[in-house]
Parts: sequence; C-alpha cells; structure tokens
Amino acid sequence: MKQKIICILVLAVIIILPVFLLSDFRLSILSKFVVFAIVAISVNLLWGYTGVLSLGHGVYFALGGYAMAMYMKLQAQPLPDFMEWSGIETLPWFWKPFQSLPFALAMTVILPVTLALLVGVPLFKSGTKGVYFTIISQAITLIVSILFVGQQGFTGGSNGITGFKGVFGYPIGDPTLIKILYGLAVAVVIAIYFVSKFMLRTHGGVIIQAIRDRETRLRFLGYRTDSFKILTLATSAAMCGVAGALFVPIVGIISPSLMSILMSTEFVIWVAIGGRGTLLGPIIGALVINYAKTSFSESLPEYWWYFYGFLFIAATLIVPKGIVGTLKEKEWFQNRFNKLKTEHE
Amino acid sequence: MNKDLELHLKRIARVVNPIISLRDVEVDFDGYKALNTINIDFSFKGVQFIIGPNGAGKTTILDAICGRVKTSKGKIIYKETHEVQNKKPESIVHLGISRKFQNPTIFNTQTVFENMKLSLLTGKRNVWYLFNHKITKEEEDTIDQTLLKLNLLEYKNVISGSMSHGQKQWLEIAMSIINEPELLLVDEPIAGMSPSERDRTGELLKEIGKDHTVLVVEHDMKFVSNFSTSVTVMHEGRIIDRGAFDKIVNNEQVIEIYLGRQN
Amino acid sequence: MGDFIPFLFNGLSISSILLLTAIGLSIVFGMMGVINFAHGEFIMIGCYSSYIVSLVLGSEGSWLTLLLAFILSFILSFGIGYLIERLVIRKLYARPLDSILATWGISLILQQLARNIFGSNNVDAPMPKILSKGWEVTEDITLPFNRIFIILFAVLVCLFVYYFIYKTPKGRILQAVMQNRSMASCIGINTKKADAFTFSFGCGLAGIAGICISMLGSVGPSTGQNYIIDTFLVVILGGIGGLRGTILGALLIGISSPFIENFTTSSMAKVIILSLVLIVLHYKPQGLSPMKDRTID
Repeated sequence: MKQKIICILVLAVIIILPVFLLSDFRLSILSKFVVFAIVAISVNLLWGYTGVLSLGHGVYFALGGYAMAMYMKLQAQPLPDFMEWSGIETLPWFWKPFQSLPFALAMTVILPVTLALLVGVPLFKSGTKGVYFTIISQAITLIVSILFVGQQGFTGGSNGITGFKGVFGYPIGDPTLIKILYGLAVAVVIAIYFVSKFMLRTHGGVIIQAIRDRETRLRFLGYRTDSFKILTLATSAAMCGVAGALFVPIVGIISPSLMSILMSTEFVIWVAIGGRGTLLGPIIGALVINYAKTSFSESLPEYWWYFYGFLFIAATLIVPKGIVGTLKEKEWFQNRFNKLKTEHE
Repeated sequence: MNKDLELHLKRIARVVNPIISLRDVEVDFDGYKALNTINIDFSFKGVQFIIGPNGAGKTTILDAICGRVKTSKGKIIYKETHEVQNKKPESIVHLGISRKFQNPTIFNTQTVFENMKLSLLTGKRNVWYLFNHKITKEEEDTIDQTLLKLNLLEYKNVISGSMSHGQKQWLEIAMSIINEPELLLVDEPIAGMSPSERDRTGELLKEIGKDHTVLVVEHDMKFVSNFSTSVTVMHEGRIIDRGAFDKIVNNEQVIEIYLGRQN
Repeated sequence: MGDFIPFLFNGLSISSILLLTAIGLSIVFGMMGVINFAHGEFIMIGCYSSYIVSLVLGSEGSWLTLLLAFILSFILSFGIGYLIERLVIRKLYARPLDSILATWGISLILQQLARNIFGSNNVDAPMPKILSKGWEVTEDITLPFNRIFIILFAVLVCLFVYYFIYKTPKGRILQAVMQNRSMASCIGINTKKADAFTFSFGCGLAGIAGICISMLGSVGPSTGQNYIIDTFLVVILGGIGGLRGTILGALLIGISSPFIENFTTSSMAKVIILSLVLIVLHYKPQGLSPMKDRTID
C-alpha cells in the first residue's frame, strides 16, 4: 500500500514538473503528444485487445478535430474566410449548429461514432475480417479525405481549418491557455486509461480478447462476435474523436493530412512499439516515438524516415511485444510487479 | 448401386421423430463433392457414431449441421421445425446444437474458469448484458459441477494453454456440454488420450447420451464398439450402412471399404 | 456511339494499368498470404529503371532503351524483392497483420532512398518516339499509341503469368507449395526457395508495371503510393486465389471509371468507385471470384 502511494506521488510529480520546467512552446508540444497517447489507447483497444487492425483511424481523429475546429472558427469569424474565397456567401446549414459549444462537443464524439457504425456494421456483419478489414479501413479513410479536400468551400480544402481566435476566453498561444490545455489533455488520458482498464475487467473484456485469440470458436459457443467488434470499433472511434477535439485548440489547425494514411499508420506504430495488448504500452509508445520524431526532425530530418521505416520492421521482428510487453517478460520486472500486486491485495 | 441396397438404405435412413434430418444434402468443395446427396435422420438420445475412411465426409456432416461449411443443395432440419442449413453458427448454437472440434480449440491464454465462463454465458443475451455481467453463485456452481465431471476442478484457475493435450480435450468437452445442448457434435474426442482417459471419455459420452443426442466421429474401432448405440458408415461422401456395431461389421461392403483395410 | 469508343478505350487503358500493378500483388497475396504494402515502391523502382536507362543511353527514347528498361526494371525489383524476402518477409508468413506493418516500413525506407538518390522532384522517362503519337480513328478520336501499347502489353503479361504458373513445372511447384506447404516439403520441394522466388517474382512484375506507368507521365518517389490502394482494391474485389479474379476486378474498376468521371469530378468519381467496391464486398466478402477452400480460418 505504501509503495502504491509513492508510485502515485512520483507519477504526479512527473506530470506536474513539465508545467514549470518547459517553455510554453515545448509544453504545448508535450500536450500534443499526450493527445496522441489517447489515440494510441484507442487504437490499442481495437488492435491489441480485439485483434482488429485499422489503418484508417486518422479519419475518426480528424472528424473529432473538425467538429471542434468548426466551433472555434465560427467564434473567430461569422463566415469563415475560406468560404468567402470559394464564393459561398451564407453559412451552410450544417455549419450553423456549430455556433453552440455543447453541440460541437457532442459532435466530436457523435461524428466519429456514426462513421464507425457506418463502416463497422456492414463490414463486420458480412464477415469481413483480418487483412480485408485493414485494407478497407484504409480505403474508407482515403474516400473521406478526398471528399474533404474536394469540398474546399465547406471544409477549407487541403489547407484545413485554422485562424482561430481562442478558446475558454483566452487567445490561442496564451501561456495560461497552454497550461490549461496540458492539464485537460493529461486528465483525459488518465480518464480514458481507466475507462479501458474497467472495460477489460468486465466479461466483455474477456470476450473481446477471446475474439482476438479464436474468433471462430467463440462463434461456435454462440457469441455474435460481430456485435462486439462493432462496439469496440465505436468506442475506439469515440476516444479518437475526443483526442481530435483536444488536438485542435492545442495545435491551432486541423487539416486532411491528419486523416491521411501516413498519419493513420503512425498511430499503429506507437502501439506496436509501446506494446500491443498492454494498457500502458500505447501511452509510452506515443510519447517516446513522438519525442524521437521531434528530436530527429530538428537535427537529422533526412534520416528520420529511415529510422521510422526501421521502427516498423523492428516492431514486428525484434520486439513484437513492444517495450512494455518485453519488460513484463523480464524476470526482475515481473518480481517487482508481483510484489507490488501482493502488497496491493 | 443395386435396387436392394437402395431400398435398404432408404429404410435405414428414416427414423420416427428425428432430432436432426438431412435431406438431399450436398457439400461442394470446388467441384469435389464432400457430401453427395445425403439422406439420413438421427434419432433422439444415444451415442451415435459416424465412421468411415479418410475423406468419407464424416467431419463434413458435423460441419454442415453446425454451420461451419455451406451446403450447396438440400435441407438440414432440426427437430422437424428449424431449417439450419447455411445459418450463422451462432444462431445454430442457440437452438441447442453444440460442437467439439477435432483438435482442442480453447482459449489458451485464459484460465480454465474463464473458458468455462465464456461457454456458459453464450451470446444468447444482448451485448450490454454480457458486458456487465458478474457471475452469480449459481452459475459458478454449474461451472464447478461440469469441471468435476471431467476431473478438471482442481485446474480451475490454471491457464488452459499449459494443460496436457488430454485435459484440453476434456476442457473443450466441458465447454460444449455446460449448457446441456440437445445435440452434441463431437469430432474425434479421444485423439491423443491415454487408455484410461479414453474410457472415462467414453463413459461420459454414454452418460450424456442418456438424455441428449451425441453424434461422434471416431476412428478407434474398440472405442466405437464399446460405447456406440448406433453406427453410421460413410464412404466417399455417401452413407453406406447404419445399424448396431455388430451388424455393420458383418456388412460385406463395409468390410471391403473400411475394415478390410485393417487386414 | 462516337462518344462511347474513347470512354471504352480509356477504361481499357485504366484497366490494363490496374491489371499490371495488381497482378504481382495478387500472386504474392493470393499464393503466400503476405500483404505487401511495399508493392507500390517496386512499381516506383520500375519507373526509375527507365529513368536510369535514359541517363546512361541519353534521353532519346527508342525501342532498344525500352527493352533495356524492361530488363533492368525486372532485375532490380526482383533482386530487391529477393533481398527483402530473405531479410524480413520469411519471418512473417503466419502473421499477415504484422507483414502489413513490416512492408509499410520497407515502403517508407524505399521512398526515402529514392528521394535521396534521385531527388524529391518528379523525373521524366523517355519512350520510343512512335509511342507519343496516336492513331487517328476519326477526326475527333485519337487513340494514343502508348496506351494501346500498354493494353497489349498487359494482355501479354497475363498470358505469360498464366502459362508460367499453370503450365510449367516450376509454376506447378509454386502452386504445390502454396496449397500444402508441409506436403510439398515432404516430397522434396525446397519450400523456402519457392517462397523467395514467388515473392521476388511478384516484385519483378511490379517493376515491369512501373515502366508502363512511366510512359504515361513523370514519376517520383511517391508514384507507387498513388497506385497502392487501387491495386489492393482490385485484388480484394476480384477475390484471392487466382488470375481470373484479378482480371475481373481490374476490368470492372477500370472500365467503370471514365463513365463515372463523365458526370462528376474526378475526385468524386474516385469516391464513388471506392464506395461501389465496398458495397460489392459487403455482399461478397470473399470477392467476386474466390477460391473455395475447406479450411475456414
């Protein structure tokens, strides 16, 4: 019990320290990484625990982001500038409700979940699985991103939506706002961590892991496995949407590049390197890889892509269990872990 | 095929009040007919064996009944009311048909108890119920009793992947019978078991067969002779004969295509 | 009627490109169960091969340079494919989802290599003079020779692959390995060699497709990426398991494209086609022409 309290204290210090140590610029980058950790948790729920690999999760993330961005844009300009450029003179009907914050916030979850259902229900019901789902998830993300780029007047086209005034009454870039957003991101990641933890402890958690290990057997036990896969996909999309909504005020822009296939694949590698099928793995993976990416692109941008490509190969050949999965297997770590556990009980 | 044999087959194919009936069932694997116009009824209760050389279509019959393979022709009728051919496996399970596969297919990374829990709470209930369900005392008792029947109670909290092959077979049998299915389909249950384990399995199937119907595919003739209430012989996708073990072993054709090989 | 011919011709032209890019992928995917996301980069290697030939022999295109480009592209992509199979792919045969990730990594590395060697700008590869002209069917309709060449070439490649896989002893060995690995190994076939060959052969075909693509316009490090998703859709629409499905998938997607583009923008057309493919897959998850198999998982 004592050790547990110490653990929590240390963790709290680690979380709070950056607020005092880092510059505003760096803190806001760190907040972005924390948002990515939320995405990683959601991808892991679907891939690491249910065994369904989506290479198109960027679309759920971006939809959440767009919903938030539409609200923030309307706060800055009654008629967004890109609409004027495209010759649209009145606000389109589907933009109007986004003037309200509660509506926009609800949409950050409703939009991705709706798409997830549109994708998941027909695909899983017809028995699409494995690599087929993976490839189709990519194609769907491609469809949506083509649509968003094509509808310049309604979505801001390939530039996306930017030029916000601010949020919560603070202008973008305000030091207080940056700290608030950091706190918010950390709070959400902790909340989502515990939501997943709770989900996996229920009988439903046992079921989805059984789907990952032996879906056919589960169907012959009488389970409608497709319903569970749809449910996990929707949950995962909702988490991604929340992350997208947090991303926009932190970074100040949302664009179709966030739903590109490159981005969506990046989500997966965070999980793979961190440790699929572990709760902490994706968080660590997202933080570590994004940190590496930022340092690389500041010093050796040329070589980042080689390293990045190598990461994918490493994640499958060298550390298939990821950082956390591999550590868990190490004996000293396991002993420590068990000791903690028994004390806890 | 001569006339007499045809008549004979027609006569033995029908039983009064069958649990499952196959009518002109055909299963086609890209031109190869794994089942060729099968017509047979299986009666309620008893341990009914299906035997035949490799490639006879024994496993395919079980697969067709439980929805694992698609039939290209014919009907499979359960309890004279439900047509189950080409239905989704999960809805067939809900009718009370349960399947044990040839190789132990269990959830290796989970404990024996979790395996049993997964089988007990079949997906008949809706998703929310299953997600939130906490196991009750009664349900745990059912699991314990079933495990006890199969000598597995002391392994309740063991990770199932770490058990021996025979124990995995038993676990899968336990998983298939926990919901007391009316029709149990069993594919080579004693493969990889020691003689004493075989006998115990046989006794268990016999016990289940008192109240329920058990269809067993098996190669081991000694096992068949010890525990069968009736035997159906298949060859190249067709039914050759059916009857008590002593009767079918005297059928010339059966000896020729099947038992003859053992000489 | 006058409008119909150019549409059909365009459709056939798109189909032949799709078919050329998909055929190698289909062999690797269908026969080995390996999802090669670096397939697009092998197409890119093909594109650059014809650029390399022009660097060495001068930018004047001729039939000789084209022939050399074909040979070089096949050798290069076959070789690199072989290397990658030995180093990475052979460890991932039973893990299809992992093979997606690993080949994606390879594709990123190959793209960056191309950027470092050839620069990130697009380059032009020459082709024989005659191919840049066209066949004037009527006053309004001109069918470009390069597209006619590609259509004929695609037919030729199909015939060759069909002959190779189904009619030659070597092809039968490959089939045997893919259908029953352990049995093939029991009768003395070196399955590892067969795997390596199949994968590299698929990559080699991608390289050849790259030459055809380089005839249509300038090429760059991301050329392969533009084709990869369409190519995958062709393969899964057709159904895994043989040439028949791939040809069917390529023809359907290719021929319908220009007709749909006729009444909307090209980006919307793409959206519509992708959605149609998904609808078909909803009703036929195994694709249009699947191989029936006894094993379910």
